[in-house]
Amino acid sequence: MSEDNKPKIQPTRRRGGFGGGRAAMMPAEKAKDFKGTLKRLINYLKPQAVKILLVIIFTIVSVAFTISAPKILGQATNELFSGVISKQLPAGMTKDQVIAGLEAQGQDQLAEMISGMELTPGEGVDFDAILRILIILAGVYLLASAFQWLQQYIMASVAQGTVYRLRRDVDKKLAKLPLKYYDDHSHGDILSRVTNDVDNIAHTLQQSLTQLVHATVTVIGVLIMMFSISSLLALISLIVIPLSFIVTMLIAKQSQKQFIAQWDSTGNLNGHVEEMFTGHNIVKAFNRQDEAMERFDEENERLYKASFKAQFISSIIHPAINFLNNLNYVAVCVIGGIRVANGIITLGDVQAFIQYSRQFTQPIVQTASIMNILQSTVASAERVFELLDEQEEIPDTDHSRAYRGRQNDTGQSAYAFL
Amino acid sequence: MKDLLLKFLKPYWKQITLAIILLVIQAISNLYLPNLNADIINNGVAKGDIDYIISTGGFMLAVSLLLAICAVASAYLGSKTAMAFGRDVRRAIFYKVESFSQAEVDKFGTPSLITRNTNDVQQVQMLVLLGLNLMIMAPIMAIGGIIMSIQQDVVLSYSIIIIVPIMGAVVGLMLWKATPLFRSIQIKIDRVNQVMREKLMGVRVIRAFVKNEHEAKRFDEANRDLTATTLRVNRIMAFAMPSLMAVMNLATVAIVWFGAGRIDSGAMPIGNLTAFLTYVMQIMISVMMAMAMFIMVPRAEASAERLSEVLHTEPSIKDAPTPAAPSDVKGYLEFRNVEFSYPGAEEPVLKDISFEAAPGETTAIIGSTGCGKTTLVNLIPRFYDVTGGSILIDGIDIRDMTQQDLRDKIGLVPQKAFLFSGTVADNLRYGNESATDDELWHALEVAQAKDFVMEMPGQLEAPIEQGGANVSGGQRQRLAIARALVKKPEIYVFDDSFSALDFKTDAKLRLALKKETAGSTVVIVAQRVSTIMDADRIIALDDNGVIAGIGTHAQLMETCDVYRETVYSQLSKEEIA
Repeated sequence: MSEDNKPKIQPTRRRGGFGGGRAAMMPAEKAKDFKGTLKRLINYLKPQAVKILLVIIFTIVSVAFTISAPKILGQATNELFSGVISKQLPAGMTKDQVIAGLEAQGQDQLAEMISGMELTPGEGVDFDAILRILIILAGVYLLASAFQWLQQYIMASVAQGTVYRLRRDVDKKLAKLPLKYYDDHSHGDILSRVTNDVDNIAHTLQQSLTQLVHATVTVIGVLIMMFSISSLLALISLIVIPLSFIVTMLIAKQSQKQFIAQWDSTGNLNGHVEEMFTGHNIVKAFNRQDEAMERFDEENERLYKASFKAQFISSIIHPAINFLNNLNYVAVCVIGGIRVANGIITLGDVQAFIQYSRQFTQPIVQTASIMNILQSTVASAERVFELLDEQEEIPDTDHSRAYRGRQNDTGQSAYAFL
Repeated sequence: MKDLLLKFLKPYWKQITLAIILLVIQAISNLYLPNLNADIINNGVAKGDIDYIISTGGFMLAVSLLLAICAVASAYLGSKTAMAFGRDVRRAIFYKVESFSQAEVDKFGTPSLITRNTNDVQQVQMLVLLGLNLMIMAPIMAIGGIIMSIQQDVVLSYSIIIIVPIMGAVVGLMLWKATPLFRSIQIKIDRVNQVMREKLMGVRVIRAFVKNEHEAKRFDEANRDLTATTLRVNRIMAFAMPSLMAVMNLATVAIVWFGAGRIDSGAMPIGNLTAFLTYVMQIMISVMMAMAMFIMVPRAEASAERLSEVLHTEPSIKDAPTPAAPSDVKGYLEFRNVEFSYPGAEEPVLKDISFEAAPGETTAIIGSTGCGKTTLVNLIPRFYDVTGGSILIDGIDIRDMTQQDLRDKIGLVPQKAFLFSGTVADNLRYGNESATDDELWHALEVAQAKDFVMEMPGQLEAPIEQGGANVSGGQRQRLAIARALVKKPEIYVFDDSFSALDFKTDAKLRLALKKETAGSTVVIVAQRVSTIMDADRIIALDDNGVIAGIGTHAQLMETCDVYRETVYSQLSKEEIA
């Protein structure tokens, strides 16, 4: 046996832990073969196909209920509003008489508004009608929640079942790999595939996947509802909403740069800490504490600057989107107000519309971040599949070879380190 | 945690105060906006007054612009302060650990210290960041929301008294159920990691003894266990969002119902209903945020405690207030009745160790594993202080020197050769920054490391990875020896530093070393008798940390049983003669 082992050079990947930092704007690691790996991951989910189908159906049902709620609530508001108005009108007259009377008084706008309502003058609020609507609304809300729960409940077993299989397969594979594989790969690297990468996949399956379905269905559903209420208002919102998407992307791009810098400096700092603490004796024996502290200060300052910038820039998104939403709100109110006054649409519809337009931005921003997460997940899946694809050892010679291989350059058996 | 926060946030009190003011403005405008919404609907949309809608709408936009500006400014201050806090705490911890002696490092454990300096700081920093934002915001919003909704309609506001406790109960139930499970998930992840790690470490043994099946079963158990627990937690959590949504939505339905009555009786204008709904939502979201914060607090508190623990630990080894003047002689080492026991241990590891060593002499220490050889040499650079007797270098008690002066005299090659990331040259110059390249090559030659360094890409500038991961164990040891040689110290301490070398290299190295270290004192700890047979003085330690015999190889073979046994177990007859 040669006294020198071949130098093992492993690229240091993802050093330094950043516990649970799955924030939306974290830089994503890119997979080498995104499509191929994604396909394979989907294939891996095949045994759970029925459950996944159920999850998708339940998500659609749940979103459909959620989306119909503001419309129903709008009906209740309409009913209430016309009740309030009708109370102010003299009882016994028909709606047409009231309108004619108002027009005669020159109150054209009020007349127009009333013409768009269904009311009986003087009657007051129709509580039976409102109760009916509210009971339906409560039912819709409860069903939306129930389906959402079912969907997440099933997805939990899909995700965990898949991850269990992945871990088991990796373990089985490791038992079949030639010892050379263990020489060429650090324990940390192998371990990180079994734990970090698999966890990453589990998390995405559990949350991001259903979120993606949820977001897509919501966007489509909300769009339909908005256009069904008023195409004019919908078009106004469609100007503001892409704007918020663009703003988000622009800010996210900037903050991603900073997050990469933060990630890098965290890695460097943690690496330095690890090194100095592990080699504490040597640092002390060679009187190098001052240099260690100097270097730490440099890395620490860099980390501070990067993380401050990353944090700050990413926190601009929320206020910016909020402002745009308010802009949209005022625009919808102005145009909607004119149209309500003209009796073209009802107050309840305007309120429903406002609620829909508020539901619209969130899923879009969410989708952008899920794309990012999906990228890092596929990169993780690729690393796991890479391991599963390794050349296996030819079974029958393994013991003799293993025994010979079990000696290192100390000339002693490798038991020594156990 | 309070002390830690107070101490490290104090320098930033101005920024914090400003951030709080901005947050209050934000909260107020946030609360005011629904009011404006209500006005637009009550006075504008409902009355068909377009001018009113436009003017109030314009005002509303101005308010929301102010809100956005305040939000950005407070985010700036908040993130700046939180990150600066993190930086300061991180630095304090690192500086503290650098002042620790080995005893304190042992007490905490290296991995624990690393976690404290990185993850624990991160945890507390996260809490500060959230604290400077949500934690201030949530209560203001909740209280403000309550005031505003009372303003909208007093009677309807009683609903809050019912809704909020229900909400709190739902969130509380989830937390109560899930928190212990989250903890147990972490334990089970650790378990999977541990089984996997053991399998990786022992892969050769497992295969040699055909233990694959047993190991597969062990892993499968850990895997199943983790899967089952995670599934349980996720199923509980699957209930969380839908049930919270249900509570919030049903609250809306109830408010609309009761509100309808109020509106019909003329007690409340219709626009107030929408505003009221918005306020109730705000209150509920604030309550949710506040409760979510409760999950973070205990975690951060545990981290803060671990940080305080480090910060409050004083190094046990300190420089003497008035260090003794340096003496004229060089390279003399003396142990005088040295006794040492680890903190908390009942029995001393070393008892009554006395010997003297002079320049040019090699002193070897031999004994069975765990008898205290490494402990003995660790006392020389004061990694630990003796608990009895004294150690003198050049006639001065090492406790009377500064640690700097003491360690300048010593060239240590530790048992576990540890290299730092950087280049080969960086590592070699670790103890002597001014060494020339020629000196480095000379040291490498003596350490039998020249050949492989020549073959490395870039030679002296070849990169070394963290921990020296990209060179073999034998190469690491030889580089560590060269590092000590470059320092040219008075006293060399080799702690079992030849263990990863084969016989031939070991012999060549010792021959070259002998010349190189002729003017210095050499202390060698060894496992192999062959390594130290020709030492000037061999100290054989027995299992109790007592000297069983001191002398040359020949002397000890005559007089010392412990030594003889070791020799017979390792060498053939010819070699002994």
